[in-house]
Amino acid sequence: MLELKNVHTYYGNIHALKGISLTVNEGEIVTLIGSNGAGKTTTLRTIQGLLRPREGTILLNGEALEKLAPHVIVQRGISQSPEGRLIFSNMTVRENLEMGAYQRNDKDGITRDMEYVYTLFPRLRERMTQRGGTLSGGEQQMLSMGRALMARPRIMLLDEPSMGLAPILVDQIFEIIKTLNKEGTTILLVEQNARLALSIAHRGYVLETGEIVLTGEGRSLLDNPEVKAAYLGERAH
Amino acid sequence: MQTAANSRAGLRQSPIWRILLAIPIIYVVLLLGQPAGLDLPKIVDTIRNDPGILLQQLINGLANGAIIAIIALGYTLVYGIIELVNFANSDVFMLGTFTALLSMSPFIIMSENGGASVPWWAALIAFFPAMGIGALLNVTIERVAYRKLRNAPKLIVLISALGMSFILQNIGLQLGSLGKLAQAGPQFSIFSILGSNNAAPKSFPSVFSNDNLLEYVFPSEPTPTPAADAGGAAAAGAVAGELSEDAVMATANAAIDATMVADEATRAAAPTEVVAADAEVTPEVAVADAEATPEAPVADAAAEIVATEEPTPDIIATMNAENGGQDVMAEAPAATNEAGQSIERTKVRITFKDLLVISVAVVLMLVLRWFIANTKMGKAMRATAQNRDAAKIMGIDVDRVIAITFAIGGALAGAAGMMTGIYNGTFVFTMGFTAGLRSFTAAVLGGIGNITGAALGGILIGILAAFSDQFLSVRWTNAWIFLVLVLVMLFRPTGLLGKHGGEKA
Ligand SMILES: Nc1ncnc2c1ncn2[C@@H]1O[C@H](COP(=O)(O)OP(=O)(O)O)[C@@H](O)[C@H]1O
Ligand SMILES: [Mg+2]
Repeated sequence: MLELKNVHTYYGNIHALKGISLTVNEGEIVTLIGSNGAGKTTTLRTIQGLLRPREGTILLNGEALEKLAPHVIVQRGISQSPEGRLIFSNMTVRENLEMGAYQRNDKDGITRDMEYVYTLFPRLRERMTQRGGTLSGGEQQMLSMGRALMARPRIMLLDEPSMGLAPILVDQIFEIIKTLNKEGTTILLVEQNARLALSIAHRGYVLETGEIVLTGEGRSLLDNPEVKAAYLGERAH
Repeated sequence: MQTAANSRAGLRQSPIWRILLAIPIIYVVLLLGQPAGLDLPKIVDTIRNDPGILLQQLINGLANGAIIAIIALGYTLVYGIIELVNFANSDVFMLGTFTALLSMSPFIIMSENGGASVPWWAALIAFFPAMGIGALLNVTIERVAYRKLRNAPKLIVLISALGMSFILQNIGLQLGSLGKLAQAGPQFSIFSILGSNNAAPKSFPSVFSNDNLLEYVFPSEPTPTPAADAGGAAAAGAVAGELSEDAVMATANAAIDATMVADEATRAAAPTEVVAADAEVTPEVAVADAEATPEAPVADAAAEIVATEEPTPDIIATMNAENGGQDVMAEAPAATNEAGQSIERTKVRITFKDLLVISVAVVLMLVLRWFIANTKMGKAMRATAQNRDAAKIMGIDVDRVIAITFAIGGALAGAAGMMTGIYNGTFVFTMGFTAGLRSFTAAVLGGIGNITGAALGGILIGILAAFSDQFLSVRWTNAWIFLVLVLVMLFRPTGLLGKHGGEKA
């Protein structure tokens, strides 16, 4: 469904992505793990069109995305819960969700999806008229994911949904990711919490300083000694 | 949003620093205030002798402030969304006045005494091209001068903005020369209103009467006093300067300038409720009348200045046009006061134009607020202002949102241009500078990025300008406003209504 081929992205002279290739198939949860500064966020921003790759191509069902504007890419079916959540703090929860559906014009569908988001995250329903800035970190993460859902994406990009959250909340969020996936949303999940991410993912990629160094099924990566040593805090034997 | 000044928050937050900074500033104000007309005993005296003048200047300030507020909305909207001070905004305002004038010119009716006027429906129609051209200009400016520089250092964008401002000013200058076409043939006669001197202030046809609406509510019998007579003479004399063949010869253009000064003088004298009919007195009689009134030497002098068409009227008219037509209006009542030893009290005037300008401003502000709070595009503007990347991720076409923001700002500037024409009856191609200073200060004072703040700031700056014109000195008004700008930036960069850390539109 989504395919990156040899993608190179730069920040000025900084070579942040050094030829990334990865694939996400329909119905999958694919995770991209790696330590801080590896280039995970850069990858998601490049897919979304916020950054332009200097080389390589990004295909969504065969269509090249790398020259399209971000809002067109959203139209094509890619939405994202970005790093830092980027909630519109002066807007209410409901307005934030409306913004997520900005590209859509089907009023009834939007109402139905909003109801779906509220069922998925009952906390958001309670906070409907509250400003985004007044939400707790966990609630903001829920809002950020709900907002991404409102675009009714074919594939949803999640950038570190566990960041800064209490363990119980993290479990809750990951449960919902699994639910979403079961209900048909394809997911590309970026995480520093490798154990958790690999435990729910079908497949995973390991990113190190802008390059993919390992790939495999979620389970097999969990058992991989190098992954264990580098990302799961276990010593290799 | 983060302003540059915000990063120095530490300095501002310490109260000791504030006090230490405030002392020298107050000292400098008091020291420099003297030559700039800050003579408190005299001001108190003036107000005690004539409290009405306070109310009158409040009304003038409100009306001029309303125009400033509308321009300030453009500054604040654009700054709120891309943190850019679009210096060209107030030159778009100036070109808005030109557009309004040119679109009304086919409907101009010349009266017997040379005064130009248009029917109200022509003015109503002219609002649309003024706003449309304003929007178009501002969108073009964004496309040409800012879009490519969106991630460039602030200073570079600033220079680009100043460049745009100069270009628009020169377009205004060139438009002024269209007046010369009128001599080429009758088919170009609609341009004759522009006069033959491209740089000179242009007169705007009158649309609404200057009748004092309060007269309808509280009718009173006109009891002309010597001072009032002198004022009337000033007005009549000005008319004389335009009509009489005996007047010192001047260019046709200077004649137009004189008309404007005359117009202003009429309004100036009007607070003392001149018998308007006096203006119909033959020029010779009027001038003689003025000369024969020993009680009003100052007003007499004013009449002379206006009547003799030496360079002076031109300069006065230019200043006048730049300052939004306030200075003659402000000086004349003061003159009567000095001359007449406080015999005559200001009769408070509210004209239809005052009400029109203020209500149009209020309506525009409310519509804008509603638009931003409730429409999809308004919400997209707020989203873009808060976080451009987040807005893009939502699928918002940020370039389009920014273009529409510029379009709204330009349309508002165009509307303000139209209103300044109606209200002040005169304008000049350099007026964008003064308007820019005032409206930008208004936006900063209210809290840049904040719509209500821009409106509040506009009103406050308008009143400050009116009071300074009246009680201090016209020549120093811009300096006082600049001082306000500096003080706000030093002590409260977030403005009156802005929260710390910044609040978006
Ligand atoms: N705006 C930026 N300007 C310059 N370099 C950046 C910028 N953002 C990220 N980088 C660099 O790109 C590399 C990848 O960053 P990022 O994609 O944020 O990593 P991750 O999300 O995996 O932690 C890092 O070395 C980081 O320093
Ligand atoms: Mg990251």
